[in-house]
Amino acid sequence: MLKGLFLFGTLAAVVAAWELPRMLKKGWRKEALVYLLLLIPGVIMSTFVVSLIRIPTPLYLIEIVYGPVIRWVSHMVGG
Amino acid sequence: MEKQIVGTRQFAVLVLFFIIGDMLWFLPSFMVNAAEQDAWISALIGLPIGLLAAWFLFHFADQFPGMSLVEINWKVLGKWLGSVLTILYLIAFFTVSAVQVREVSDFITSQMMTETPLRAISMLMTIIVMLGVWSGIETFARTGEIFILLFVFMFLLLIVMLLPQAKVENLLPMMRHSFASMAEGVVYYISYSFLEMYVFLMIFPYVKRTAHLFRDYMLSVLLGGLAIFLIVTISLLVLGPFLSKFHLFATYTLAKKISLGGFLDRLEAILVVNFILSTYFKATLFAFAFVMGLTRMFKLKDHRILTFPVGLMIFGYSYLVSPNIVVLNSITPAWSLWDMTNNPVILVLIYLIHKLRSRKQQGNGA
Repeated sequence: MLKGLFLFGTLAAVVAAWELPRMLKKGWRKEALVYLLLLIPGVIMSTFVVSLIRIPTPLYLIEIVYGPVIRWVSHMVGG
Repeated sequence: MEKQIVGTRQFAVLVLFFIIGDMLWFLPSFMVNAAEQDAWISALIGLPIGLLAAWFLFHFADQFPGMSLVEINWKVLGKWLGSVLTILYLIAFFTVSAVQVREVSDFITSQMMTETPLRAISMLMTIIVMLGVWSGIETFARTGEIFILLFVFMFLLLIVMLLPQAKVENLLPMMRHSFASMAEGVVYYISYSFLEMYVFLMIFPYVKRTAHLFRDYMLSVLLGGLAIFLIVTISLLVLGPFLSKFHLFATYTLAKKISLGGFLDRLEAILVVNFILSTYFKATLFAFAFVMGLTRMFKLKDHRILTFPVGLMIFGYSYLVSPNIVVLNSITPAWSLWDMTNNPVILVLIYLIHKLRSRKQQGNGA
């Protein structure tokens, strides 16, 4: 966990330290905010990859939403 | 942000690449699983439906010239509801893009380089995808124009080289499946290729309007549909229903089977370039749509600044999205319903609301 966080945290910090001042110099405050808001989940998710941590996949949400529909349809056609 | 323009031919090439997309890997096993030896009939039935869906998408985009999905949602549904719908679409763009990256890395690590960690391939794939996004849609479309010749050549090579091994007996007995399983095959055929074309609603604003844009677009859709139909059929003819069903990467197994007179074989490593190429184009189109969607939604001045954070997110999500390929494939029925909600259902609703409202305004004006 720490190793991955260190790796990607450093990478993100270096890139952000290079990009953020250029954005702020042009007065792009909103851009900088969106950039930071996207960078945080990016670093967290990449940390999971490096440390091989599994969280339940969000794709199960699709199953939860559409599962009843699939069961209903297969019931209707007699599958 | 400078204005980028995609020419008609470049757009047609993008559509062709998009439709073939990752279907080169998975379509045979999905469809044969549903309809067994009748899968090719399902594909034939699906082709006109897919063309209809593509026609609707073009017509839909025609109603809102110069607008992307973000602005369409705002215009029709208002600021708040429109933004919510846009976010739902952005989630879809992001998920599909990450899944494409994942499919390539899953394939490489399970079939070709079995000792390489999954994330190494994901990383490489994400880097080139984000490179495509960073260069912008114009450069990216030109890349497609260059690669299409190679792609068509290798695709035809795959089909032609396999013809000597085709056995027509594999298609018999014909029409032995119920309407329901044939319909399931049709759903798989249209949803991942034709219905997911809603991503082009983010690309249409950049396309140059010419007289025969519509003709070239439909021609491209038709060719793409025929190509994936050919893939399913050749897989059935050569491998038979049983093997096509149980090989996860049926097309790769097909490529391994090429053997001409004992001196031309082991072509699969070259043909894999083809598969990765089409999947890459699909992944980049979706990633581009995600980045452009964010840019237009928050009215940012440059889409390039988002490349690095979005790249990290796609890299991370491509690993988190499923524990293994089996889970990913078990989600296919729900996934195709998701595509169906995104493309015909919600878009038809938006279209109807827009039509009703403009008719009402005309009535008030008169």
